[in-house]
This record gives sequence, C-alpha cells and structure tokens, in this order.
Amino acid sequence: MRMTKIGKAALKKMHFVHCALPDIALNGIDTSMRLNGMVLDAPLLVQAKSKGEAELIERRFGTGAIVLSKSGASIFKDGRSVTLNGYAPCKVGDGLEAAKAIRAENKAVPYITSSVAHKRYEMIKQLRIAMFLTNSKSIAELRKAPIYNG
Amino acid sequence: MDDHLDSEAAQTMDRKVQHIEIVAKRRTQYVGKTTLFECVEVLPKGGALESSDVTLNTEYLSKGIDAPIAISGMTGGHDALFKINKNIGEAARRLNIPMGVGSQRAMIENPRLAYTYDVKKATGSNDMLLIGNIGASKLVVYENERISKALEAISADAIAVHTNPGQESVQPEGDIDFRGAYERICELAKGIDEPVILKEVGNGISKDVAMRFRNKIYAIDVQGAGGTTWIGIETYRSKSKEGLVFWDWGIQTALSTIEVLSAFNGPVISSGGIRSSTDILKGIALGAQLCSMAEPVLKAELHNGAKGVYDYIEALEEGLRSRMAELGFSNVDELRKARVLIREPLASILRQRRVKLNPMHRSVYGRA
Repeated sequence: MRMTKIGKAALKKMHFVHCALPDIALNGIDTSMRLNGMVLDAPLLVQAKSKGEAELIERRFGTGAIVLSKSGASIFKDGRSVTLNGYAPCKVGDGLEAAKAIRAENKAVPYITSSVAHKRYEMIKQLRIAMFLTNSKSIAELRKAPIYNG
Repeated sequence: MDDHLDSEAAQTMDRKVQHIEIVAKRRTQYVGKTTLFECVEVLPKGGALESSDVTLNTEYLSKGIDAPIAISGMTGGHDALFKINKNIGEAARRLNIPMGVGSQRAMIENPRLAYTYDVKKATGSNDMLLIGNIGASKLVVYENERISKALEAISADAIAVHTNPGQESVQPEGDIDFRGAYERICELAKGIDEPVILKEVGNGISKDVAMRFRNKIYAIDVQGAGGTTWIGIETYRSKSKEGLVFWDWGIQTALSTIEVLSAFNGPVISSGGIRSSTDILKGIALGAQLCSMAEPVLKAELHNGAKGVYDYIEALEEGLRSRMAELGFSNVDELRKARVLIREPLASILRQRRVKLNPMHRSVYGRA
C-alpha cells in the first residue's frame, strides 16, 4: 500500500484558482465518491484503530471509517470492508484541506481522527464550498480544478 | 423601519449597516495572503522629472477624469448610510474621479431608499461619473427594465455587476445559486444603454472567467485578494466556521490584474488591497486603466467626512505624481507602457498559470 506523501506544507502552498462566476448551485454539488466499489457520501473518512471501533464510528456518525495498519489500510462501511490498494490515505484538518488533497493526488483518501469526528458534517460543508468556488459539480471535476503553488 | 417592508428587504437594510460597522471596527484584512504587488517593480523610463511635469489625467467611460483612481462602490440602501455616500460623492466630485455605490438591491426592493444612492442629486453634480451596482446572482430574478429604472433613478453612467460567490457561500442568507448568472450579465449588457462592468468583491477574477466576457461587457474590475476580505466580514456577522477556513481564499490582486489583462479586451481596473500610491503606480504599470479602492476611503470618511476622503485621495495623487516623476513618466499613458520586473513568487505562479504577459508592457521576469 502507498501511504500518504501529501505533506501539510505542500497543501498549504497549494491554492485553488477562484472561479468568480460559477455555473452551479452550492446545494446541487455532489460530494460522493466511489472507492473500490464502495460509495462514500463524501471523501472524508474517520480514522478507527480497529474493526470494532470502525463499527462504533459508523453507528455513531453514520459514516465509513478507515483503519490504518502497518500492512495497509481498510475501509469499513455498511458491514462491508474493502482493502485499499494504490490509494493514499491523507489526514486532513478541515474540508478545504480535504479538497486540496483530492486535487493534489488522484488516489488521495482524506480522513480525520475520531477525536474530531463530530466536526465531519462541518468539514463536508467546507469541502462543498471549495467545490462551489472552483465550479466543481462533482469530485471528478474537483480533481481537474485549476491550481497554483506559491 | 417602514411597515410595508417585507422581512427580506429589512434584512438587506440591516445587513448593510452591519457590514459598515464591521469594516469600521474589526480587523477585516487578509492574514496569509498579500496582493503580490511586492513582486512587481516598475522600471524607470528615463531621467527623473519634476512632479509639476507629471499629469495624472486619463479617460474612463469616455469621459476625462483627473487621476487613474476610482472609489469602489460600498454602500447605500439605509437612511443611516446616505451621509457616507454623500460625503464620498462630494470628494469624488471635487477630485473629478469616478465613484461607485453599493448594491442597489435595497432600492429595487424598496424604492424609497433610492435617495441613499443618489449621489449626483445630493452633491448637485451631473458631471461626475457614478457607477450603479447589482449582484450577479440577483440578476437572474431582476429583468433588465428594473435594472434600467434603478440606474435612471440615480442617473448612473454605468453599472457594476458584482459577483461574490465566496461571500455568499458563508453568509447564512446567501444567494448560493449562480446558474444562469453569466448569461444574464451578457443579456443585460446587450439590453441596456449603460456600460456593464464585472467586478469581484475581493476574491479576484481569473483569466478563464475574463475570457468569457471578451466583447461582451465594457470593463472588468478585478477586486483581488490581499485587502479586505468579505468572507471575513461575513464571518464576523455569522460567526461561521466555514468563514475562518476560507478567510484567505482568492486570487491575489497583482496576479488577477495580469490574468485579466491577458484575456480581456476592455478596460481593466486593478483593485483589492490598493493602499498606497506605489500600489496604484504598479497597477497602472501592469496595464490597468484605473485602480480602485474602498476600505481606506470608507475609513477616511468615517474619520473626517468629505474632507477626510478628499485629503486621503489628494495625498495618494501627490504620491503617485512624485513616484512617476522619479521614474521619468510624464503621464498615465506612458506609465501603462512601462517595463515591469516581476519577481518570485508571482513570476513562477504566472508560469504555472500559463499567463501570457502583454508584450506591449515588455515585462520581464526577475529573481528576488
């Protein structure tokens, strides 16, 4: 498995090019993402230490969880699990950072720690705003949004 | 407040007062981003001149004005705000420079408020250049006739259509549907007599957006990042956590100015964080028709009324004249053709963005 190489410093230097006149509505943005056949409501998982904790997170927050181990990473959701091969799990602090990680690395899988899991909804809202301001209706479009480093 | 006002109109009025209070009392500037004007160096044309040899006269909207400076539209739409517009208008009239008003949405919703924008009547001047204002997302619901009437009511010479998706997206009552806004701006430009200017409110305009407006509208006012952040102002109002994350969002003013100049074929106004005569010198040297400013003018008005605004802009003009004289530029047209050195990180950003520099400006990249 390829673990994340997307450094915080690189994300900080990266800027989306603001779209002053989007052709979309913020409420019409689709944040869903498919990962190895599993559909996520947004590319923002919660980190769990074990399969047991992943199940607890899913029950409590209604979202998929990611378990990282030395041998790799797995996603748990809806009683199913998939192993991530070739993906880059990437810890993020807010929704804008998640958007940047997705844009910086095609195979990025942004996640947050369980201690901030209660802020996930807020972070998805931030991700949605980043998509709105880059005129990206979907995660696929966000991956192509113009950026610059500086 | 008028009994007949619906809650949306009342909200619009209250919001306008809150905005002014926040700008006056809170820190509303970008924190982690500058305008990038620090990366722009204007190279001398030749020997130094005397300040008295320099003229700042230029043209805008087919009228002669006394300096390449405009006062950006800020306010109106509330009885308490009339005085601000009147005082700024009095200074703009004396200085013979253009002035804009804030969004006229409030007077479209409640025509009684038209007087708060009617600077020409308030100052007794029909000659000054007055720019009306409406939001891009609101154009979808207002037909051309209503916009025309709003412009006629204040004898505006042009209309600025402000686009502010960043601000709207963190505003609790924000208009977050921009579908059809581009088409409506183009329809408006075709359907009314007054020239249309597209302007941002502090997050900048890219070359891609500017390109879409080639041959469609009169001018673009870039209103780039590095000065006042409207996302920040809304963050104070709503205490939104999203606002904190997006506080520094946007294309920096120098970058946005160069991008728009590379793609658009009408006048370009460089704005967003313009705070000194050196900023104005650089904006014009990049090729802008004018530089415009808002926040420092508002603060000058709040400090000392019309005199405060007049003195502030007069000092900027004096500083610009002096800087142009040092560098050997005798007029604004010469300054627009100046050789400009662009340093890092702006130089590298322009390369990444594949922005073609205007060959007329003979700009060169340089190392810091």
